[in-house]
Amino acid sequence: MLWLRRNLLFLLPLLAFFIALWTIPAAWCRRGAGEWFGGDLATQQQLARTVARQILDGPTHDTFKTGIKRFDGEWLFGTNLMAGIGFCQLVLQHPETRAEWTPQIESCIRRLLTKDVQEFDRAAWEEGPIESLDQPQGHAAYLGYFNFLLSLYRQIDPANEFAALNDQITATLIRRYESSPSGLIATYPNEWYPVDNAPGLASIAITGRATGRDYSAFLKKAEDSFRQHYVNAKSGLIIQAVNAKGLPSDQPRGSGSALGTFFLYHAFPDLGREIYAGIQRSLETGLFGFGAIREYPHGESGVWDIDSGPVIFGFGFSATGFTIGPARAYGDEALYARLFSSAVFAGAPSYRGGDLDFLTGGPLGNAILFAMLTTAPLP
Amino acid sequence: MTLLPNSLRGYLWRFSAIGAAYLILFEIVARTNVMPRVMTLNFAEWELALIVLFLAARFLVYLVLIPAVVSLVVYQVVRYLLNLGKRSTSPR
Repeated sequence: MLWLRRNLLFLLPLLAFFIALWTIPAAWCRRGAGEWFGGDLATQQQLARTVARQILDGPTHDTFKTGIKRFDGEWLFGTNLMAGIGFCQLVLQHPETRAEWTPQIESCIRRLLTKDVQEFDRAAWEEGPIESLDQPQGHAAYLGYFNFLLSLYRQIDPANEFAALNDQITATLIRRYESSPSGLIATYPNEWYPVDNAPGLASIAITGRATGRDYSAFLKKAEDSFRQHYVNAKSGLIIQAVNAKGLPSDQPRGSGSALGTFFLYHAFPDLGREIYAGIQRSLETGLFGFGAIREYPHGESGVWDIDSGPVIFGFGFSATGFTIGPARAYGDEALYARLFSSAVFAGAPSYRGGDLDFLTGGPLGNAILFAMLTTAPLP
Repeated sequence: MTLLPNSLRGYLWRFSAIGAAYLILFEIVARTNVMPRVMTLNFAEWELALIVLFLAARFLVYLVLIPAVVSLVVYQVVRYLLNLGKRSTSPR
């Protein structure tokens, strides 16, 4: 009896500790996930106001100090791009807010058109991405992403002042894809990343829907090529990088697969669903009730870089954040909520003055989470 | 508070102090806006130290403090119940 008493006094609190560890923190961080998943306007606008304020503050090249000028430029570009995407998604889901958020969308587009923001692409190609639309170089790092934002805005306002530019870039992208033996256009000279082609392909599909133009033949061919060459059959994930011939030069990875799916589902919902299933099968994991996405498939490992962000115990920060978008697109509320709890835990949200600010995210982190959390569900 | 056993009260005070320290750190991080600079790798050393301290405190509060409070409460309940049983079965 004494033995039982002593051990009960030790074992039950220990058991309670682990049960509490696996349930309470994650459940606490998951509060609000239902409102986000359901597209609650008031919830979305809490973060939209913060992103708008931070974009208004105008991050510049000096805001970012990665140590590499190209990455500083990419982060500046990504901040304005993701903010613009988030505002577009918000308006597309809540058309009554169009007058309120359209100025923010146009502000993001205008910033993306400045020489300061374009500098990372211009320095690599030694020509500006917009000035060289009649040239053959790829510019996927800039053009595909930028045109994705333009195409979303086209859905909101088909006659907006950037419609002609959207048409020009769309025609350029189609021409460059059709003349590419690998079916990809280069991100930078001699650098090909399938993920950077996803927004360009999605932008063509969205522009087609917004304008009534039929790009179905081009898109069917592009989808078949992407599935056949750039999705790893075993893991179901997007290959991170390829060479000039389209052969893998890097592993299939979480960051590229998640971000690629975030864009691709607009053009190729079936292919996106296949890659999303690959993410679930090969990368989904968790700890203490928090959801996480690995950068490398189960049983594999690798280095972390500017794309993956920190990789701790195999969990990829970028892969985890970027999968929130596809989870909402494909109606996976359970994974969305688990990843949301991780974003809240790592992001340390502050609700000062009714605005939501992920303290650890800064302008780029807030803009990315805004775009991911407000991703439009597939109809 | 006076209804609680002394040992539990002592632990709760300590946990409350850690929780309060975390909340103060949270406010400092939110008001000084240092985190965006750290995330963009554009920071001073004291800012990095503040962020490391803040993240350590956040991990401590969420993953240690909260389960520890639950564990402590369970410990007190089990001890109370065992003592009840002990008293009722002991000879007069």
